[in-house]
Amino acid sequence: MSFEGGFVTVYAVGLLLFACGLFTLGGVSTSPWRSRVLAAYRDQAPEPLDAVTRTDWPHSEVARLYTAAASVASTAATLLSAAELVRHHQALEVLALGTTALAGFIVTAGLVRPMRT
Amino acid sequence: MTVLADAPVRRELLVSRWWVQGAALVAAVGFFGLVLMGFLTYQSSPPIPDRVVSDSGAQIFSGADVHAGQDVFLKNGLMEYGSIFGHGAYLGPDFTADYLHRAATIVRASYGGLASDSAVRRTGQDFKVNRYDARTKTLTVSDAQAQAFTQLRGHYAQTLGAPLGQSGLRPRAITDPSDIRSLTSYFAWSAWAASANRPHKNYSYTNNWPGESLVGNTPTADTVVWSVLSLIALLGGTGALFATFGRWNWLGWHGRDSAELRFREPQTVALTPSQRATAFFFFTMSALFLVQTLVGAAAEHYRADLQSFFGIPLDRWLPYNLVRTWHVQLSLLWVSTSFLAAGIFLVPMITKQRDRKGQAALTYGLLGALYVVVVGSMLGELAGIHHWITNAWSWFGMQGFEYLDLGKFWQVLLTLGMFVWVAILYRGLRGRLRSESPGNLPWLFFFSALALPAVYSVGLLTNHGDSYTVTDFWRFMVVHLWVEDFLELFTTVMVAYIFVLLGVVRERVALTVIFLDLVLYSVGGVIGTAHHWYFSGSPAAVLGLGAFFSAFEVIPLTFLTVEAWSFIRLGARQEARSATPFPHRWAVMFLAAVGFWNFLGAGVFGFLINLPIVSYYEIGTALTANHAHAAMMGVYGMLACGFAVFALRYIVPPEKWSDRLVKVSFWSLNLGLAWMAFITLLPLGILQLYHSVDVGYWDARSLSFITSDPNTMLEWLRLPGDVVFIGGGVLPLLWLSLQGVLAVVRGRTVEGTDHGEDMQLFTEVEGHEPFEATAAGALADSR
Repeated sequence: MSFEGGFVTVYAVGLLLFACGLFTLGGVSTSPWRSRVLAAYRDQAPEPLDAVTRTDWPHSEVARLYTAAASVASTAATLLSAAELVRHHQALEVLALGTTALAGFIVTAGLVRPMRT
Repeated sequence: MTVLADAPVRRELLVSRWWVQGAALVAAVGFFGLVLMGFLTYQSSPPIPDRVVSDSGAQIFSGADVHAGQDVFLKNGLMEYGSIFGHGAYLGPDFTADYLHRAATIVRASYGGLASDSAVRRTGQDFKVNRYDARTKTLTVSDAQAQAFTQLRGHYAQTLGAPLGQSGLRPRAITDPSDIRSLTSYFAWSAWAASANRPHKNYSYTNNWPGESLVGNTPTADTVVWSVLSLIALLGGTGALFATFGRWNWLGWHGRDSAELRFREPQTVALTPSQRATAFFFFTMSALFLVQTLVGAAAEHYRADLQSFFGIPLDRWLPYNLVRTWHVQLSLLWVSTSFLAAGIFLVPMITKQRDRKGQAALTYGLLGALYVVVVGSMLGELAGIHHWITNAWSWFGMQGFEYLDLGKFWQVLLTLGMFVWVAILYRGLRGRLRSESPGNLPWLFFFSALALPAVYSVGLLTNHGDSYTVTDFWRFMVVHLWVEDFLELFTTVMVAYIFVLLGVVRERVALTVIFLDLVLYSVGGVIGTAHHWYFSGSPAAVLGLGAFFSAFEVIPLTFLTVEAWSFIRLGARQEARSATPFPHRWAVMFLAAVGFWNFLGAGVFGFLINLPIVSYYEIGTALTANHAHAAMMGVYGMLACGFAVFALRYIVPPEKWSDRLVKVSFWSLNLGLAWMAFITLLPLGILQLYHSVDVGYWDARSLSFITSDPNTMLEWLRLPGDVVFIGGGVLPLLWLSLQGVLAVVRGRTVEGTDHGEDMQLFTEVEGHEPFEATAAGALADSR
């Protein structure tokens, strides 16, 4: 396998992991009351200041924001590995890059679908 | 006594005096460090010999040739094509590394080539042993080095004067034999400074940069040790900041939690004539932004296809160094245009008073002056690169220092224009300033504005006749200190003031955040300027100071990411509590984007290339471009757009305003920028860095590497993101700002009364003692 093919595979896999991580993060509640980081803040406030629901702005935008950013990363991963596959297609490269491109396509499709609805 | 009796009562300082004194002390220490480094730079920069002679006694070149060569380099815009000492553009070679490698190869061949052990040893000796005699100001080099100089004159004549072009430069860019000789002398001198050991040291004037195995240039102990220490500084500083944040929770933005506000409909807020004039500024800003992205696309095309622009020989009229110059200059100019306009727009909102007589006329005058500088400097750069200006090239043509490419005349005009802008702000603020403590928000707004022309004017000290090392010291006063520190300070103050005006945060909290940011920027940013001078001829002490303190720069940037979410939440909280809709949802989103890109673009991508050991191999590669784009556009670009959206919301009539267009613009700009970074600049930069470590810096910067197939593929893959960025991001802004201009021309904005109430952005319906006891409030109250 060429160095270039190996690099693109690793980079694309990294981007896909990044995309999946971002998407997961987008599903986590954004209420500061839930945050462990702001534990000291909770101590000082007698009760939650923000009665947050996921439909309130900006919380309503959070999932969309993370999903959109994740889509950029996964589309980039798909396109990069597909383009590299055109340049390098020995057996091992086809396996590595092809699998990555396919995984990228599936992840991207999965991310884009909810955004369209 | 009468004077004392008539003097207006000043409002007391709203925060503890410790904040002011602490910020002043830290800033003073920072600037003392900066002055000290300037002194060291002047003392220890590599000398330019009066004569360079060979062992056989023949003169090879003179000090005058080196100075003349620097002039040829600058006026032909070669710093916007390739680089010298690693500084400049990224398409052409780094001429220091290029000359050093080619000369060393020729010298080694003349001593017997690769097979001969003595050839390797003698080559190293020729380049490493410093034979400069300070008494006679004469540098002696070997006959083999003299022979290399002659051969390389031919090489540069061939490459820089190529009749077909297709190298990014225009065809026959430099053909005058005298110019070629001077230019080669300049490159030869830079290569000597990069390889010959400093007196009594075992490393060169450039801390052994660039890495070059042929002459024994390897990273120095300082380069490695200070890299490690700066990592520790980053980890320790970040931990300390978050510990403080978590323990006391009085850092950052806190809202007017209990107050219920009623936001005024934007179309009911009265605008003064000077505020209406800013519509033309924002239209100009958007137009310049569009031009900047288009010439940026042209510059990018050169990296993807050097031969032609889809069949058009673009390099005949708009060579790479010209479009790159315009791209870089316009990035500063369109962002500055927005900042100038936002400052003028805010003043009446701060004072709640109508304009003084002549304020609008001055504002339109400033706009006219801006057009003169922008058009004049761009035409000057065009004329300079095409050799249509010869004698006064540094005044009216291409001055040639990257980021200070505009001729000195235009640079002076720009500086004066910014002072006029400060005068306009002062005229508007004068009454309010009289009644405020100099540590309160109105004064900080004025001081941070005044700092912009004051610090920019330091860039006037760059002089094409000085040694590169010295002039680079002054250049980075603009590139780093002005852009990364004082624009950042002005940004913080502006954002704080907007939040205060919107009733989102209390003034006392905003002041605390400003002073905190001032302290943090001063700790890292001022002395941290030195991270640009690792390898440009400054001594090792500057490298150490730069590495250690610039690591601290990342800390406030990390903190701003935490703040980014606060920006949005503050906006949301007011929206939830207001009976009327919050009109600045998208302006706030742009501010959140500023926080995000501050962390990723400036913090992560910046720190990626900040360690001396990384910079040693990386400087001037695509990783630098990655940081530059993500930080400049991500932070200042997004902020400029945010200011424009904030102001246009009041100027554009509701029936012409479209939140949907702003939304498209916001997402397109952010996604396009992310695409640019993740699909091209970051992977390309990693590949180039690897190649630099593996093969050599000179080769990683060569045209043959830049135009290799893998790189070309990555460059072309950037195209979709750029189309989204320009088409979806810039054009909607241009359309909205055009609506602003039309509204002003057709008199569709609200005229105000003399009372000023109609200039209030919100009304407070109900206010209890807020839950602000967290934040600085608790500290201030306990004084």
